[in-house]
Amino acid sequence: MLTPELMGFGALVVLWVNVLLIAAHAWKHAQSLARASRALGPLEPATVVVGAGDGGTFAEREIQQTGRALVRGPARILFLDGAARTKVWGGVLRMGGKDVAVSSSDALVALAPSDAATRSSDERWPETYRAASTQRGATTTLRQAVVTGATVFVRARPRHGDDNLVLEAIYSHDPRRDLARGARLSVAFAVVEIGVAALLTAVALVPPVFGMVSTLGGALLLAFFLAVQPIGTAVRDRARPFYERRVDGAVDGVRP
Amino acid sequence: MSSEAVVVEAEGREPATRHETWLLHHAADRRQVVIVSIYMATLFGMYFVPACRNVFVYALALYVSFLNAVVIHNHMHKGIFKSKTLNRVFRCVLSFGSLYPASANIASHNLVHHHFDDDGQPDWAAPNNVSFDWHLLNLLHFPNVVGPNTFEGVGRWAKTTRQRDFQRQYVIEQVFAFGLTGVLLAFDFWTALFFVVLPQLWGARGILRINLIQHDGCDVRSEWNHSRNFVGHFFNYVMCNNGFHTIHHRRAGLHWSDLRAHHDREVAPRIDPTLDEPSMVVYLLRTFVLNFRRGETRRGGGVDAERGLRRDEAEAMALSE
Repeated sequence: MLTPELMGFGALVVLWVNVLLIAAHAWKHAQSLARASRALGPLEPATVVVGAGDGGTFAEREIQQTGRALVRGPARILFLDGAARTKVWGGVLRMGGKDVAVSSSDALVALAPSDAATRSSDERWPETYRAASTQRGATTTLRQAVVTGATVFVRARPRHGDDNLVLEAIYSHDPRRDLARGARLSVAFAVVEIGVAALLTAVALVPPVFGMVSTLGGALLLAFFLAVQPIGTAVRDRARPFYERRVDGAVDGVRP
Repeated sequence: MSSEAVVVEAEGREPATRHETWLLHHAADRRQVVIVSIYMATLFGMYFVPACRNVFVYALALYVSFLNAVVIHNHMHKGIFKSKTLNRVFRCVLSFGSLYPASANIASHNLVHHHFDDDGQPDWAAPNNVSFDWHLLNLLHFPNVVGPNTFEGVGRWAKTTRQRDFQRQYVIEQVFAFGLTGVLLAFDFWTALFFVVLPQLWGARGILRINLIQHDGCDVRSEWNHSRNFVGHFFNYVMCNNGFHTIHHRRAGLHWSDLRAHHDREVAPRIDPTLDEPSMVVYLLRTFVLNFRRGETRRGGGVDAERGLRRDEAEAMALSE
């Protein structure tokens, strides 16, 4: 016979295995962010003086996006990221009061979702909206560019034989602060998650077990179990450094 | 071939035999109706009859709960009843059985998972969502990550889908599944939690784990080596041929009862033989219990042209009733 006591014990074991797994996952994420921060190497702030690409572009990121219009409500297209590519066009950077030439390369280009962006569909709203109103959706290219005058953080090494730099990575914001914030958030989540689970377990075990208070604790534990999983993935997404976050986006217009 | 047999020959496809009944598109789907009936009987039996609360009934409930999720998968690829209304009612029953709206599978499985990441957008249930060194922990933890990924994605998709009545049906399934479970909890909280909710969650989380079991270490960019198959006869009898995953990805429109024949003819000669596992139990023991490290992911060439055709077929199936 499966008694309530036996089933309750089993349910708590299942709950705690998952609580600890979720906490361990968050801890592991914090560790990977700390490792990424250490692997950044020396970063220097710089200002783009000349961008060798079109319109003074020093570096850029292009993301293929698919847009689909809302079925109800305003005339809004929701865009989702697809494949991305980046490119450094090169130019001149001012670093430590000195202008340094940088060649074009395939160095890491790390931009944030909040960095200025344009979509290839921006000027063609009626056609884009019509395409976005089909199941297949509208395809567009989102472009973000680091242009003349932008402040960036770069990792670079001198090139043999001249004063130019070989760029290894360019960030639109200081990634160290972002990585540290993400690691702190992940660790805090793991600690709070375990704390809340312990508190609710204690409530569920208030004598008489299966009495009114204990039942309230059980109901809260069930709600906690169902809620902590989406909260865990939301924290994971919030803890990501800016350059790993999705851009996506929504554009409002007038229904054609 | 019986007098009921109907031969359907679609353009460019192999002829397929369908054994219709007055109620079902395919007589083999009686097995799925029986599975769900047994499952409901175990849940309500344990809830209402204390004598049913024993190890045997509970083990059966956990097992058929997983099969209920398999039936959701099959039913959402092709509704088993001829009546649209019955198909929708059955979705509600299945949703209660797994405590999630069955229609979520349209977006999460039929449209997203069947594409892998071909279109540059991530598969919400990709094995790389978990990364513990000890692989058993990945198996245990997988639903904690993939479940929320899925429901966030389905919610986003639901706002823009052109599929008629999706939103309405999705809400009805949630109201039925959560409403009925809520009523059972309200009347007898602990009995409902232990003997209804836990089996429901076991099945729902089990079907998510299958994604890891069937694709971990495979090359999702390969035409043939993207999935792991479990080809045992007994296993596939009770699992409604859920072991034949490669052919299912290639031909989402095939009825589950036809999968073995197509697997033997099309997949077996081409797939890396190590991806045809004779037994899931042996695979699970070997991979997750006797081995503490995760295996390497195989890498192949580029995406085959036929992938586009497969994607179109999965999409067409997903958008039809």
